[in-house]
Amino acid sequence: MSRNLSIQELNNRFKEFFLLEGFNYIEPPLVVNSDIYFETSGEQIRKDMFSVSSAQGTEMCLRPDLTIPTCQTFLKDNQHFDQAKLCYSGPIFRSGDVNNSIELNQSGIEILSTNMIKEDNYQEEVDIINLAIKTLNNINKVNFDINLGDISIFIEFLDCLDLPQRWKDRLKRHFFRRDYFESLLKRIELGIGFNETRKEDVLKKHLGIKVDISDSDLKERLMNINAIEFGERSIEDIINRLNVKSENIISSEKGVEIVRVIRSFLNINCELEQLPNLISNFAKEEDEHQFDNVIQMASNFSKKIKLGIGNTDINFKTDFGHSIEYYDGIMFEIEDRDNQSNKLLVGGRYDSLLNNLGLDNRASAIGFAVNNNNI
Amino acid sequence: MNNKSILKIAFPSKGRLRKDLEKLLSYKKINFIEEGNNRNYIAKLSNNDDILIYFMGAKEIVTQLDEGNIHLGVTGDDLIQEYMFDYKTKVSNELILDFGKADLVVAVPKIWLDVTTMADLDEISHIKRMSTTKRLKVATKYTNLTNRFFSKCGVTDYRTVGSSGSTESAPFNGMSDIIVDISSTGETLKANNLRILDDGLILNSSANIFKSLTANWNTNLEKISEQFLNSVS
Repeated sequence: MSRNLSIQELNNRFKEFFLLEGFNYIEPPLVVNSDIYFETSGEQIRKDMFSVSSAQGTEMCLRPDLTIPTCQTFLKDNQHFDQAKLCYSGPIFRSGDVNNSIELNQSGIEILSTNMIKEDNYQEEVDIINLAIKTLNNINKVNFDINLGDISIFIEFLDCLDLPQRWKDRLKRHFFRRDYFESLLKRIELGIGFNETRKEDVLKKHLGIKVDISDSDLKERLMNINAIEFGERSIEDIINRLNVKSENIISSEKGVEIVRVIRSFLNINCELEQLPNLISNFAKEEDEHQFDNVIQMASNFSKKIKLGIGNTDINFKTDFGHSIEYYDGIMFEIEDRDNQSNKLLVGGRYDSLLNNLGLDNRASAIGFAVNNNNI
Repeated sequence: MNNKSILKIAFPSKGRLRKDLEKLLSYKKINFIEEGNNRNYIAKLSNNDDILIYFMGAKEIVTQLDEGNIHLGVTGDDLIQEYMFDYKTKVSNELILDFGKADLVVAVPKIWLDVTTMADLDEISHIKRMSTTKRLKVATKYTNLTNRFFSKCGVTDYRTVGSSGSTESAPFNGMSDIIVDISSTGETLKANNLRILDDGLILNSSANIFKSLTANWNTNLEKISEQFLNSVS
């Protein structure tokens, strides 16, 4: 029975299985440069990492995940090939959750390619979910539920809203940080702007200017305060953004209405097959917005995934997401049906991570990892 | 007197904190009686023979409270929260003193008129990262408190730059874009053309008497501690 397999045995079983599926086994480094984690997840990931300084003064850490070291290994070698199917098994180290072991163990796969033009046929997504199911079946795990989400559907939805682009970008960027995302919604409900962002109020408060002033006169005033410019921010950048902020004022009444629509959209939680109907009904109810693109995208997504996966039940949630910010497409998790807090496997698409790691071309990256400690 | 019956208290050895503390004790008619050849590092109090005073740096007091080598210590909230991991389980705040008051704040160059809140900082740091691949640099001596606060405010596209000297000059010499620093009156920041963000208050700090929860305590020491706290409150 799989319940009796040790971590080492699980590592071996998954490795053999992935090799048979045509993946190349790699052993990413245990100790990696910390910078890339700060670059992709920000300083707050520091609390989850075990970091040390090398003799050269570089901050290094025990890898907190296996996806980034795997991508780095791929990019190091990719002058020889532009596509790879890689698999791995091994420990990762996270200190954030005191209830869990600091050394966790994962086995996973990543399908990476550069110079890839992504088509909207979701074939890779279908293949990866099918492989995830097969991977768990291979160790006799059959009693599980699949949850699915797609950040790109949420982004398409946001783009349809009558909200300043700055705020759309902010909501997209913080979708993964639930608490902060919620605080952004609350701020929109209160209205955006008013006294604190209206240009004349800012100029009066901080520079004591009480009359209309041209941008060129304002530039001169600022130059007199600081002849040198700070960092990469020019005085033009500052004035331009001040003007944009001043134009982006939203009343509280409108803010409440926009947030109501966002919350209503993020409440959609259904069997994948029902998604197009639910989105269409949602669009009918909220007919002052134009959600045609969202309907089309959700319908295409649902149809292609359902067709590829077959009879397996999949639950779709519009607000489903992981806590790591580099996912930028489909995201999925498979949880134990008897214990839903037990996440057996997580995965998703993360094309832009390869670009963040230095690749200039358009890339495709998708994968999953099994949490061996939860098996 | 048995060493187990001596209450060990750490006082700041120098600077403004020490002066203010001496003023308080003097007002309460408590004097130091220096102990022999200890170069002013150890003293007793005139009103209680069961107390031994150790003079040390405010940061060192945090370490000694953490390790339980002293029973009580006078130091700032800012240092406790910055340097003591999981401080709530290791110390309790027994008495807030009326000095050593300062705010830990986020300050940006005055000419950044478009940046008035942490949300603005989030946006401009993201713009910087996208356009230059570099992160906003934050000079501070308080990296832990900064990371916690920035994380709570959703700001992630930044890097802290350690600062050991006058942090307020860091944006001028190109060391950083903005700073997080202690400010008592705000005058130093103003003089350096820096402005505190509207929601940039990280911590209201003051000097406090902290009790080490990891030190060895007995009924007698608890009683001496209570007497001491009553005498200075």
